[in-house]
Amino acid sequence: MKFTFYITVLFFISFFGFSQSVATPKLLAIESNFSVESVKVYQNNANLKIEDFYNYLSLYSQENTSEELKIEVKKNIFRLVENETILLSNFTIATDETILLLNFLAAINNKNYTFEVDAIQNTPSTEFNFWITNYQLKITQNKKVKIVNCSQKVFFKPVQKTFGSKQKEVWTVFLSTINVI
Amino acid sequence: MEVLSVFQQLKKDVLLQYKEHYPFFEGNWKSFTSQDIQNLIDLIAVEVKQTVSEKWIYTHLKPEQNEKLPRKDMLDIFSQFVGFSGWDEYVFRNTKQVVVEEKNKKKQFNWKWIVAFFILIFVSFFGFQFFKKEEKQHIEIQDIYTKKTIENEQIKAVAIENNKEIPIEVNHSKIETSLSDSIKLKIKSPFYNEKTVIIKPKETTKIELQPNDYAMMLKAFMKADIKDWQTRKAQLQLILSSDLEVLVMLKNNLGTEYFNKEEFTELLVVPSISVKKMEVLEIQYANNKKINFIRIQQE
Repeated sequence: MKFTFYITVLFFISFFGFSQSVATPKLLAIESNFSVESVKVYQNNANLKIEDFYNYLSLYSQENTSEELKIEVKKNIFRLVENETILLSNFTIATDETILLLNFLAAINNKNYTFEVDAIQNTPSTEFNFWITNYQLKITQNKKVKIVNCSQKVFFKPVQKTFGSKQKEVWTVFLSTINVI
Repeated sequence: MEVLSVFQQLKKDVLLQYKEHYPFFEGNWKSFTSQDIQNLIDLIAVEVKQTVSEKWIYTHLKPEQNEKLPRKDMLDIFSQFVGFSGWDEYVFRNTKQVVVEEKNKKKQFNWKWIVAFFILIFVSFFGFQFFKKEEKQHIEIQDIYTKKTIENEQIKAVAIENNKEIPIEVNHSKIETSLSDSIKLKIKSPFYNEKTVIIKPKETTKIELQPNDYAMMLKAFMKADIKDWQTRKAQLQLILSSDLEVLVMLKNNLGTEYFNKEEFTELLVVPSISVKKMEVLEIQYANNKKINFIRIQQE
């Protein structure tokens, strides 16, 4: 009798869990939560972050930027991405290798690169929780200029954020992988 | 009425009578031709059965002014031509009529002016009441220390009436108020301490606001360049509460971004394009006077 009871309870619990996992992805989708106009506004906001990202990289790369300031700059760079392990094309060298962001920072440190973004365009449609942004990147070092076309993934999803003793779920933009196209 | 004037009237009546018979004649005695004279002579011969000479018509009827009255027999003829028994009746009738007309004109004249006068009074009174512009005074809003006017965008003003707050427009850093009544105003600004003041007509010419030190520091940090970043970082730690919530309203209020204290400090320590596009709308303070809430509009 007890055995039958437990089996029955477990059986119904499994249905509950299944229905939860089916419902959750849809609730997290960008299009389920935001209108087309809202998404455009967030995409424009993300474009500003991409510009900030490369300005920070430029500042980080300068020899005359102090080590203390580079620590602050690094904090800002990582604030813009979901984690330090995002991959990007190592567009400062000739090869098409991809490299972790952390390693990329080491590669450009004290090398006096400057990065400028131009012609930013977002894909009109969004995937589940991200969109693609394409742009031209101008890389300058010792007056040598290289222009590459990049495609970057930008995530937009809800995260728990702490405000002192309070917590709140807020939708946040994160810059992610960068590929040279 | 003077007899020469009566004769002038007779001349007009003769011309009118002529036009009755010759409607195509549209002129006056000046343009009266020899043919017209002959026509008139023939008419008089038929109507009055009397003869008048062309010379007489030239001498007495055609001139604009007559120095003396013509012979009475001729006056009789022309009076009969216009429908009277003779000159005497013509004079009598016209003199009496003129007196009556003048009396009527006087009455009409008096009545008309009296009515016009009252209409004028009426219109003036109500027009004045309607278009009367209330006298206004302009109160300037200044920084208490620099004595400079505070930018419009940084000020919100409300009038307090019956415990209700009614928004008031601020133009060129000035508030317009009536000169007739006192008014209680509350002035708010993200960078200045809120102030409630009673505006007395003609007495109050300016409102001075006390800058909030922490808010002013925040404003300066948001416009700063990379220089002095360490000082900026240390001061941000002091002025920002640990449970700070920064709410950034995106374009057309279609989205919102949030920063906590750590993130916002990082953002201000190293200047960025994003921060340059931010405008502070509201600041709130915790009990310890640290900033615990900032509302920002991103362009």
